[in-house]
Amino acid sequence: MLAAMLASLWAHKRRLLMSSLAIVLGVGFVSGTFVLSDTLKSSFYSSFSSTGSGVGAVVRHGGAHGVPAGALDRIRALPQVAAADGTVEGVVTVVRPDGTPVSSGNLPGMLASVPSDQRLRSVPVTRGSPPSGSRQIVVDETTAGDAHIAIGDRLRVVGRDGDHGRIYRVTGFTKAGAYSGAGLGMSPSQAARVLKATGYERVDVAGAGIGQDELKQRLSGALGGAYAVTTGTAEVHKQADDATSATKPITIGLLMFAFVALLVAALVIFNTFQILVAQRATEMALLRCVGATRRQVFGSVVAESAIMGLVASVIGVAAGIGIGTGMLALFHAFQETVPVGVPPFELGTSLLAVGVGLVVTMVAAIIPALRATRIAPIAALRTPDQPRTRRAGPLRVATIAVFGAGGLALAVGGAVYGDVLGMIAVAAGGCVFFVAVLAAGPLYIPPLARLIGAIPARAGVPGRLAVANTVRNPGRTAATAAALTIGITLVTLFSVVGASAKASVDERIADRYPVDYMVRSATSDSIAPGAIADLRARPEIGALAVLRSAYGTVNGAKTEILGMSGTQVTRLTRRLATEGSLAALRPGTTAISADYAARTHLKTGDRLTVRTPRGGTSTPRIVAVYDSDFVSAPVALSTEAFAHGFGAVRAGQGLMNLRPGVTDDQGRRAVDAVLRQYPDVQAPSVAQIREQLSSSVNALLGVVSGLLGLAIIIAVFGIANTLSLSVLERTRESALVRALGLTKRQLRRMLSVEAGVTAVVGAVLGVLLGIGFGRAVVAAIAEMSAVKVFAVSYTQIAIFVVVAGGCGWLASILPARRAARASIVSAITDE
Amino acid sequence: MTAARPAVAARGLTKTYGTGGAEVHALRGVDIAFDPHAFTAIMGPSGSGKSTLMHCLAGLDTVTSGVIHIGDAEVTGLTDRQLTLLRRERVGFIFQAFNLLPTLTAEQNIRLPLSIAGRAADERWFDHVIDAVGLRDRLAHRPSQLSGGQQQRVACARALLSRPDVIFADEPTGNLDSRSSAEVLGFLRTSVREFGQTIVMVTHDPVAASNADRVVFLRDGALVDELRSPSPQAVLDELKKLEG
Repeated sequence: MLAAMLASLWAHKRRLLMSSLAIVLGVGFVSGTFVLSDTLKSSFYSSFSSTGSGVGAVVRHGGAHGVPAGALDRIRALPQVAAADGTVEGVVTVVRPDGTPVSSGNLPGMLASVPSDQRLRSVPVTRGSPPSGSRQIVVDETTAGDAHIAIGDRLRVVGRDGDHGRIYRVTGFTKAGAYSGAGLGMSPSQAARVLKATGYERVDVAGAGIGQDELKQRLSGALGGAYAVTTGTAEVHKQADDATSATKPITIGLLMFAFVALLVAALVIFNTFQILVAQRATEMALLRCVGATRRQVFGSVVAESAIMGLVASVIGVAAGIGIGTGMLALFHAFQETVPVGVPPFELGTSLLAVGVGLVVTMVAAIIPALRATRIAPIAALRTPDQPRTRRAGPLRVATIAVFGAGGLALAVGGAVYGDVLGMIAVAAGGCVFFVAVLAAGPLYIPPLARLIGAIPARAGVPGRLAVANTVRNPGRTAATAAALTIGITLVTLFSVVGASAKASVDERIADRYPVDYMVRSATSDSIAPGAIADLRARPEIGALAVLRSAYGTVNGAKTEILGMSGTQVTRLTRRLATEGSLAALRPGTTAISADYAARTHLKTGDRLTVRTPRGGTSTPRIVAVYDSDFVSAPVALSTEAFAHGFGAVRAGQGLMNLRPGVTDDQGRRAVDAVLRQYPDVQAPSVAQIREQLSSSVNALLGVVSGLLGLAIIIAVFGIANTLSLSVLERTRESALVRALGLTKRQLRRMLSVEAGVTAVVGAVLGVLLGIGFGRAVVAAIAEMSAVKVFAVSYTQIAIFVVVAGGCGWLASILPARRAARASIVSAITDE
Repeated sequence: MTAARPAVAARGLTKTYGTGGAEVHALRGVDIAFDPHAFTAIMGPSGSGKSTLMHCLAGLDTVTSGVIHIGDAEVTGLTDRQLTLLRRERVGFIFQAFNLLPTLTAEQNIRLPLSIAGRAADERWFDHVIDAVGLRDRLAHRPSQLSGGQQQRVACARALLSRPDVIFADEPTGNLDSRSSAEVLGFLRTSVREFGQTIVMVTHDPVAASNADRVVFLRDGALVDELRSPSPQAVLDELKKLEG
């Protein structure tokens, strides 16, 4: 039996080639993802362990203010301590003295303390000298290279110690860290000053000739229970684990895409074995005739799939190393600390990937194997028949209908209900409905194929024959198309959600943000008052309203309270208030957001009980309800009432319009001229914000579509596979139509149309399902996200369908060539 | 029954498979001409090369040497595309295994060659052919719903509809019972007598061959004999002589 199985496997190796490729790609994706996460993990470990070697112990304080400077002095005074220094870290804005930015993109700079003792330094100073005193700074090599900074240059750094910052002299360069913006270093005391740190985040300690454990004990003993002390080694591991856990979502996301790819591959395998079993009915029956049991027939098919799965998975793991290398290169482009090059081979994860591929292949072959056991021995004596699909039984139809209806009801219910629970219902119902739709494929695929095939069928005989061939075996065509449907559904779903997100952003910005600029700080939550005053002084600026925010108690609950000038805001836009008028906002009155109003059932005319740290308790009357999309804080007070309640709070956000008649260019120049003095204040125009949001949505969609592209490629292999197996089965028919006068080109066209129609059927189905699911997802998340408007990019979706049809055509090239090459005589006379 | 130009003619036809020691000579210099409007049978023992001869004559297979004409067209030396067009325009086929397309109805199968060629069928001729093969009430059926005899009659109608210069029939009765065989042979004879069709049929059945106007005998790839208007017995005797 084994010998027969192996012989048959070898004889059919070409027929298994395409479906093996599907597994190779799927497993390659899985193992590539593993390779990526292995490499990231090991690179984090090695980078941390190589630099933190001098630190014997780390001290933290349990409170909110970190380790105070006094504690550092006590640590330094211990006899077992060779060196100790505190660390702080935070965002700042860095520019050249003339205001030109230094950090890449719009990212703020990352300021970290650089210990004076090099044993404590986690980032080595590679050139020049470490910073000391209050006027020195070091910059990471990458930023220095990109911004052409030389040792001795001067840089302005704006932190929390002043609106204009201070000028520092560059004394050296450090190794580039993991952060993408500019990496800056100052002496620990100066860094703490710039960042207005009340204490150090932690204190790193080097021991004087004692082990880490002993040092830890001594420190704990000396400092008391309020301090947590860990050894340097434990700290290195903890930090590496933290860093690695940041990459976990990426790994999980990639594995989800790999799962989709494997699912599609499984469908391709399933279809392949269905066809092979049908084609080899005689062979199977002969085995039964000569005494093989059903169990043996079943075993031989599954064993065949196991060998195929094993071989393909091993190749897939090898391919995965290549895919992983590619992904690493991609990551490297975003983050330079990620190593490039061929990653190391990891036995454990490789075995796991092989196991996954093997199991997927074998599971996919189970139903075909069961079908093989149902072939009666007598079939060996009959002439081989065209494999025929049986009509779906009423039980099957009923089951599919019940599941389909149930899934649909669940998804629609979830979409209407909304919220997190609704999302889950949409996802679960959607999956059930999707599976039911795919399972029902043989019922509606033939009419759909005839409909789509009507165009090529009109063009001539090859088209008509192709459509007839597409619908002759509905089960096979349905399974082939389904593989593509999965990928196209997901791509369409993401495209719809993306288009909806973009449309929502556009609508929100166009309709409800009738302002030209937003003013905010890049590094903190407050804007320099000078910047506001200077902007107001410019003739180009029309209205500028500022919003301040702080926390108080409203009706007994801690609530964010906004301070704004009703007249200022009203001058800026009248569309903010959805009820009442913000112009009526003055001491004794208040306004609430639409969301808050909906949540609390409060309305204009009602009173709130507001308690503030300085103003005590008051009961202002609600005079207006404002749009929550525009201003998210639930409760707003007038500027005067806010100042009375909270004291002097800096403006957190500014909304600004140009004076009528001022062009965008003039406005931009005026704004930039003012903000040169306030490096951390930014004033993006609303058009820029929209652009940014749009492009980040696009970038995300691009990545997702690229990852789903693999599933689509696998499905295209599936089409090529089904077509080539069908071509083998129909050699005689092909020869016949050739004998009757079909040219080789017409024969090739016939097969191309067949593949193209199958692909377009799968794609159209996927597009319809994707739009439907997209509609449900948008409805479900409308309540809790910024995506409110449903939109479909029809051009994008038309491209999907056209590309799918084109891929189908590509998939037909090789099988069609082989069919056209076959000799007419041997095909016709071959019994 | 002589005409100025033969419907199909071959001169010095050889066909060799393989090379060196494994060489097989399927045809060794065959010279033959088929009269128009005549029914000719090609006979011979198994392996005599009769099917190879027919495939070469019909342009389905290439020859090693020699020249073949169908009407005024030289078959040998045509490109694959030209050959396809030639078959489309001038040649009809009937095969032993019927070879109908399972996805098409009987009528669609019958009209297929003309559709491929992009030509319209002569509807009166179509009706005539359908009535002659007696398939009027079976036109909407698919091949799987037809008996073997009916399927072969569909194939006959398909070959006749385009009024080709010649129909090649390869063992047309090989898969049929004697009653269906008689029907098909009767129909082929009628189409020669009444419609002036030219038919070349390969068969190993003496009864089938005796329906032809002329029977040529092949042995080991060469023409050895021929009979005019033979009886089944005469064909059988000749075959015995060849095999014996």
